[in-house]
Amino acid sequence: MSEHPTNNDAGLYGLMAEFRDTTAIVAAARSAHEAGYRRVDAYTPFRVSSFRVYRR
Amino acid sequence: MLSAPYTFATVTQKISSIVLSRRTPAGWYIGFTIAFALVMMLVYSIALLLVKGVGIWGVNVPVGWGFAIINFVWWIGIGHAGTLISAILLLLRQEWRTSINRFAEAMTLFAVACAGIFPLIHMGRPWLAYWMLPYPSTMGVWPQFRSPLVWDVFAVSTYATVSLMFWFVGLIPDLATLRDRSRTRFAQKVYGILAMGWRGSAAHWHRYEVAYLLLAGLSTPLVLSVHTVVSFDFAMAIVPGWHATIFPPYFVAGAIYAGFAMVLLIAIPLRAVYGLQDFITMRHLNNMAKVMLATGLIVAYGYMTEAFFAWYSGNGYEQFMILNRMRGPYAPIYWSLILCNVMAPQALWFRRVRGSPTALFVSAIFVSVGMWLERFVIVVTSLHRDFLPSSWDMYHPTFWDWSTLIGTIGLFLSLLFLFIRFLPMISIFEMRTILPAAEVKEPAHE
Repeated sequence: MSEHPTNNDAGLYGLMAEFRDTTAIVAAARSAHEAGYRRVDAYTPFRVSSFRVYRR
Repeated sequence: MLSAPYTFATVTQKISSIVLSRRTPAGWYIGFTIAFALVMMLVYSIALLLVKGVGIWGVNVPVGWGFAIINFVWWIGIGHAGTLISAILLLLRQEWRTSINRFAEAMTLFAVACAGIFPLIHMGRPWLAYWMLPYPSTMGVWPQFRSPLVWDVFAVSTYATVSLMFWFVGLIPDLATLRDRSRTRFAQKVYGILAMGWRGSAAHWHRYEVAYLLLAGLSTPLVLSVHTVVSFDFAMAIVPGWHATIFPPYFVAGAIYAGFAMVLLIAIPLRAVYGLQDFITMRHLNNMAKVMLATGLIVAYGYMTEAFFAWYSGNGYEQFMILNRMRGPYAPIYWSLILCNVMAPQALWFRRVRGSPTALFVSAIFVSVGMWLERFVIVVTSLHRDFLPSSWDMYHPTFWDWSTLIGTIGLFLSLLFLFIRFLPMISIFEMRTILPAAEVKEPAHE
């Protein structure tokens, strides 16, 4: 995830990031959830059950 | 679960390359050609049946149920292992099911397809088969709900539908993998349509999990109910040898027994030809052998119960039935059945037998043949000498009986050959899930 996202005039629409392993993406999902973000999604090649918690 | 270190990429590559990039082995072409020739023989046999009628078979009075019902029960039983592996072992969180569930489910579907042919063609007027469906007919003909034949329609069609849904839902994430990895435009389109827009998002996985669990819940009772209804085809009749309360559990155990034998018959050559020993390990074969041994003992108990109750009932017809099985004109078939289903599988107690794929393959052949003989004994020896000696007769299968049976084996193998060529025979994404890298290394939360 980029440290300083650059806002343009239209405002920031969204952010994407790539993670190398399951632990990292789950940690990122938890941080995003704790920061109050709810419209998030994660793309994985298999089921990660902890995501269910962070989508509520 | 895996016998070598694998990563997400190598697991995906190893399974998907069989479909997408590896050269199709020459054996595939030879096998498929033979199997497809047998399908043609099946088509010819059924066409002749439609033209000439059931007289081309060996059925007579009193043996009105010949090969058609034997084959029906045999095939539908074989399917049960797939449902047991996919549904019950899933709910029991048996992770070893992961590498065998996909082709076991496919086997279920194909076995049900073969089974479904027989009740249709044994009816005498197969073109009126739809009369068994409860539809608002202007003739005022309503199905006879007291007839087990109608129960079969519901049991088997429910089983086929749920099994197909379960298999297809489980395939969707892998179809998306094939869509993303295939190189030709045509393959991308076909797999793409079948993948139904799967992107692997957390929302997709959530829906997937719910749907899969619901289908597993629906399938679980079917493992018991379908073969129970099939056993009612017999148990509801008052024919000695059929009219027994042991039939439902004994049939269900027999179904799982025959089914696991068929899974082994498929798994052992597949892992050798496609080099999948790392995925379908000796532990899998060992576990399947144990299930086979356990269900085989239940089946053996069923045989003993039949003999015991024939004596204990004090009913002369029941006693004659069991003595006629053991010493009558079909005695060689009864004792072959005992050899195949009761004696031969006792070898599975030995670790050395369970550790040898060849020995397991041979045991599985014994069980498959034995389970077919079991249905022959139940259908034929019970009917051929019933209450009135004046109506006794022998049953001799004809060429067309055999060609229809062997033809369905060809149909089963053809479908299986197509399946391993065009779809991933092992669930790719479930294999990824059991890799160590898929674990989340963090303290428990919430």
